[in-house]
This record gives sequence, C-alpha cells and structure tokens, in this order.
Amino acid sequence: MKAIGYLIIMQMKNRILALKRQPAKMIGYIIFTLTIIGLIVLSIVVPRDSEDIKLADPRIIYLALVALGLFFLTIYVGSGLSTGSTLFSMSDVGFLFTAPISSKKILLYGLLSTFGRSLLSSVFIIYQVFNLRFNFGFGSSEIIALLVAYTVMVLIGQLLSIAIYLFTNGKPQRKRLVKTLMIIGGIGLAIVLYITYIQEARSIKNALYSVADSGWIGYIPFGGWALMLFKGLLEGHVLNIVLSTVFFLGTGLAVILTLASGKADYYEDVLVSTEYIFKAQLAMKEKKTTVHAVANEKNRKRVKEGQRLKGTGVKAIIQRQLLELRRRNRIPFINGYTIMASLIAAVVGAKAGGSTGAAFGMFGFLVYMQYFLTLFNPLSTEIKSPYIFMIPEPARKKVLAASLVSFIKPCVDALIIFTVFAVAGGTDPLSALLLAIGYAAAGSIFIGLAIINQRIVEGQPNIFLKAILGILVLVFIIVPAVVFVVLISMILDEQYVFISMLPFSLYCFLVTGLIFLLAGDVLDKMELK
Amino acid sequence: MLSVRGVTKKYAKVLANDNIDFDVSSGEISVLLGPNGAGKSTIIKCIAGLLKYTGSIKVNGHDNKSIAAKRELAYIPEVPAPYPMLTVWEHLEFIARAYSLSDWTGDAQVLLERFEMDDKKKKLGSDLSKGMQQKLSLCCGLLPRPRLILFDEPMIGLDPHAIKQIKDIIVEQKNAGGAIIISTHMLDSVAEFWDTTHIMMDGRIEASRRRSDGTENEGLEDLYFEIVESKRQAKRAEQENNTNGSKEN
Repeated sequence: MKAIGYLIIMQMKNRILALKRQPAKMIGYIIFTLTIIGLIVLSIVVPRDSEDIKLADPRIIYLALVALGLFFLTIYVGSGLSTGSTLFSMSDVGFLFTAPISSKKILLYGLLSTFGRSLLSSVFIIYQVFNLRFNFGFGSSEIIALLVAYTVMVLIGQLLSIAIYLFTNGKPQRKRLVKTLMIIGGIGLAIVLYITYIQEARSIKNALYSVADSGWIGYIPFGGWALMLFKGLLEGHVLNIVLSTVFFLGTGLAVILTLASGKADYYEDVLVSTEYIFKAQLAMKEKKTTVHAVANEKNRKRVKEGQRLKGTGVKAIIQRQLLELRRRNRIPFINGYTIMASLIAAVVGAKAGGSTGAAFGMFGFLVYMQYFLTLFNPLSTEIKSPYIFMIPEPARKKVLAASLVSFIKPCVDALIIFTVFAVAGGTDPLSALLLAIGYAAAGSIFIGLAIINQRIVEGQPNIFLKAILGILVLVFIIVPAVVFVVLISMILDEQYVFISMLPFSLYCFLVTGLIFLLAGDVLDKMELK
Repeated sequence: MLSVRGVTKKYAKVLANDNIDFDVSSGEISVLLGPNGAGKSTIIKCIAGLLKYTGSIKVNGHDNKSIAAKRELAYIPEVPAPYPMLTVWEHLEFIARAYSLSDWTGDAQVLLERFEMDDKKKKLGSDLSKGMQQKLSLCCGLLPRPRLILFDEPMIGLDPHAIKQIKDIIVEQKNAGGAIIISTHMLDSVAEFWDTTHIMMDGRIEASRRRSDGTENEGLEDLYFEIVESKRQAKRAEQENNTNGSKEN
C-alpha cells in the first residue's frame, strides 16, 4: 500500500502547489471557499424570526432528491450499457495495473479516489446552506443528512454503472433486458404519477407532494433510496435508515465482491471505459468537441449503403456536414434538444395558454439555451480545422458554406417547437410563426458570433478574458434587438405584441449578414491554432 | 522467458487475436509487424495482463497476471499517460515504491540523463510535451530492470536522440539477457537488431522468421511486403470467388 499511499499524497500536494502557478484558479477557489464559509457563518449568526418567515415545503427538497436520483440512475445505467464507468485514470492503467501490486489494493485505491471525487461534488449542497436554512428551516443535521444521501447516491451510482457494464458487455440480450427493465420502470412510474394526478383533482403540485409523502417512493432505486435515507436521518426512523443503507450498500458490495472475486477481471472492463474517457478528454483539450459528444460517438455511427458525398468546391463542405449529421442522428437536425424544447413548449402552451408573458418567457429561455448549444455547432469546430484553410475557394464562400448546416438547425427547431406551442394552445398560429422566425434569427446571430469570436476573442491567451470578451460581444450585439422588442411591445396592444418579433428578427438577420460581409474572410486573417 | 500459447481474444464479434502461439527467449528481440488492426497491440496488452483472453501466457514460468510475473515485466504503451499531478522524479519514486526497489536513485538519474530529462525532474506530468511523456514512460518502464519488456510503438513522437537512446537500451537489455517484444510499423527502426519477427494479419500470425535462419539477407521490409501483399492478394481472390459463387447461385 506504500506506493499507492505515496501516489495519493503526492498528487494532493502537487495539486495544491500547482495553484501557485495558476493565480486565477487560486483566487476562484479562495472565493468559493470563503463564500461557503460565509454562508455557513451567516446561517448560524443571522437570527431568523420563524413567525415572520413562512417556511417552504420540505417536500420540494424530497422531490428534488428523487428527481436527482432518477436522473443519476438513468445516466449511470446509460453509461453502463455503452462504455461503463471507471474508477481509474489512464495513468493508473499504465503505471498501476502493470505494477506488482495486488489487484484488490488497486481496486480499493480506485474506490477511495472515486469516493473523494463524489464528496467534492457534494460541495454544491453546502452552497445551498443559507437557502436550506432560511427557506426550509434546515439545521446542520438536516444538511449533513442531505450530504450523506447525495454522496452515497453518486458513489454507488458509479459502481452500478460498472456492474451493468460487466453484466451486459458483449451480450446484446442482456442489454435489451436492462433497457426493457428501465422502460418498464419508467412507464410504471408514469402510470402511478398519472393516477395520483387524477386522485389529487388534477393538480400537478398536489400529486407530486403526495408522491413525496408516500412510502412506496422509497423503494425506487437511487432517488427513492436516497429519499428514504434522508427522511430516515431527519426523523430518526431506524427502519428507513437500515433499509436504504441495505439497498445502497447491497448494490455497492455486490459490485465490489464481484470485482474482487477474480471471476470478473476488472482490468479489461475498466480499461475500455478508461481509454474511452481518456480519448474524450484529449479531444476536448484539443477543442474538437465535448466529452459527451465523444462518448456518444460510438453509438452514433451508422454507415449505410448509398450514403455518399456529393458536390464540388464549397458544396462539398455542406454535403460532408449533412452526411455526418445523417450518421449522428436518426432524423437529421432533430435531436434530444429538439424533443426536450418541444416538450417544454407543450407544457408551457397547455398550462399558460394565451399568456404573452409565458410565451416570451419561454422564448427567452429557449434562446438562452440555444446560445450555449451554438457554442458547439459544426461551424465553431470547422473553422478551427486545417482542411478548411486548404480548400482552394474564397474564404467568404467557405465560411458561408460551413455555416449553412448550423443555420438550418435553429430553423428546423423553431418550426417544430413553435408548432407544438401553437397546437398546445400557447398562442395563435401567426404569433407562433413570428416567434419561430425570431428564434431562427437569434440562431443566425449566434452563428455570426462564432465568426466574430474567431476574429476578436480567440487570440486572447487568458481564458477568463476570452470568456468575458465573448459575453461582452454577445451583449453588445444582442442588446439593440432586445431594446427593439421592449420598445415596440410597449407601443402595441397586447394582442399584437408578437409583431415586435419582426424588427427583432430583421435586426438579427441584418447584423448576421453584416458580420458575414465584414468578417467572412476570417480564414484569410486568422491563424490556425 | 515468455511463452504464449493458443491466445485468442474476442471483442464482442471481432476476433482481435486468433490462436496466437510464440515464444521469446532471454536475450532475444522479437518484433511484431503487421498493418493497422492486425492485433499487435491487443496481444501486447494481453501479455501485459490488461486484457482477458483464452489460452495461456507465461512469463518466466509464472502466469502473466501474477505478481511474480509483473515483477519481471515492463509495458511501454503507445500513448503515454503520466499522472498530471506527479513530477517526473515522483513518477520514478512511485515506480520504485510499487516495485519495492532499493538503491534506485542512481539508476533513475542515469535514465533521466540518457533521455535528456535530468533538468525536468520537477516538472509535472501535465506540463510535459508528448515526446517528454513518452521518454518518462520509458524511464518508468526501465527503472525496475525488467527481464521482459513490451514496447508498443516505442519510437513514435521521439526526437532522434531519444530514438538512438532507446535503440541502444534495447540492445543493452538484450545483451544483459533481457527479452524484448516490439510492436511497430517503423520497419527501419528495428531492422538492425531484430532476432525474430512475427508478421500479423487479421489477428493471426501469418509468418514467423528468425534472423539466424538467413532471413537477414532478405531484409525486413522485403519480407514484410512479400508476406502481407501475398496474403492480401489471396484474400482478395477468395472474396472475388465468394462473390462470383454467390452470383452464380
């Protein structure tokens, strides 16, 4: 164990010492730590008058915990079915796995490291300490209980992912079985929720509160177990504590015993996922894509007969992007975001039908989401690849061609999302069309922003300065459009208020055109990094 | 020193290694050649104990996954991955501890000097260039004085000085009675010192040659292309026959 102990201590020491060379990071950590300490101190020092302050319902926290648990369950089962989770890094594979150290000790090291990371990730709960104390009346024991429930959930989740990987790797029938069980569980939960919704006089809020109060929710893996543990710790309910601990520890122990028994040679199993994550991290470092995108790449390769590149010159760029898109998504341009945004539109449309505020609120939220998605659009990566520099075509034409597919995506999304919104009763068809045009226009300006960023921001060596400049450019460009909307909305009657989307869209399209005109030669001016 | 018997490795439906047999004796340099996807890295990882397989791999008579075998074995991976938060010297200290080495600092110093890394002792793994990472990986592999060394594409990304050093080290290890396996595409880089070569295609060893049997005169490159191309042609002919056969049916 002395080698592993040395490894852990030295890595921790160097991580702290390395902060000396990264002052921005150190300041960030100091601010973060001070904020947490400040929040804890404030929550203790500041007196709260319980008569004046009405506490929020703790069932909100219960539901959040269940939702988080179910989210983790889905994520970990998903990763178990594809690449598995890993307790190790690629360095461990190269240095530890080949060293004359018992595989059981190496496993213990992996478990301890993962536990440490899980504990660190639970710090965000401490960040909520003020909120939990003043809005929910939570004391230190409740917050510690929440921390315990969260940490256990994350740690056991990683082990579950490994277990599912061991069980299903290379066995399609078992994969189908796990998927079927998950689907049956999901459908079952949805049916129970619907029945509760009917029983609670069709009130979503009451139905959810009723579920949080129910005993059966505690038996749902992860989310339910975490809630059972949390409530057990809060209420001193020994049976709940024991049962949830048995569920969590049982799952964890089963995996650890399987790994340590020697029946499952865990080196190979973790090697595959570790190599996968290592490659994804390398790709992210090289700014090719995100870890998530690389991790999903494996499942998205669909080379079909007859799929071939067409066109010459800049058309070849468009055709290549389209071909890649067809291989990534079952239906080109429609992905998880389209479905999620359409669901949001359906719910908002049905619940707040006809409300201008709700429609604009949803529009603003979706545009905000779209900005972050555009950061990873094909243009952003395309413009950094060497081949586009080499194609013997004018720079402006190449940039336009490389942007086209990125621009079609918000148009398709807009069409689907706002059609759903109108059908769900959110607004009339004409207003939905105006909102859709506005959404697509915002998409176009975000694409233009990618070019601007290459010209102005990319050269900055400091990442913080880069981020600040990027946001400033966004604000500078988008603010006039928002001002247009607000001013015109004030003039118009409420029934015509969506017409304000027209000047907004016009402004966005004009500015995008201007960006392409003035900065379209970006490939001639920038250098490849 | 190394005995590989009937090793078969499958990834789902893909047969990465198909019934591989070969031996490497002490004082022998064995080279695995083959096109991309031939299964060279897979058999190296199997020998290193990183993959599950059917068959038997013995290192000096010990099962390759045993602690005893690991004491005699070094694996230099194709892609180096040092610990980002460990300095160069700490990597070597960690290896010394992991292999329970005593009086290792002199050896470590010599290795660092040979690879021109003695001024990088305090550099973190994350601060090293790819070439430096590869050199560190080599130093860590060589420090425990292994009796069997597995090199997976060892010369990729190295500067000429480091390539010369690694060639010298390989020959020194051989002369000291060590067994060496090198998987590589760079035929020139091993042409001067190989003893046996196994040419792999589609997970199988298609041909094995011993330098002492007179293959030296033939040249490694000629031998490689002769075998690989003839196998490819045979494969193409077989595929055409199958296609014609199915059309006729």
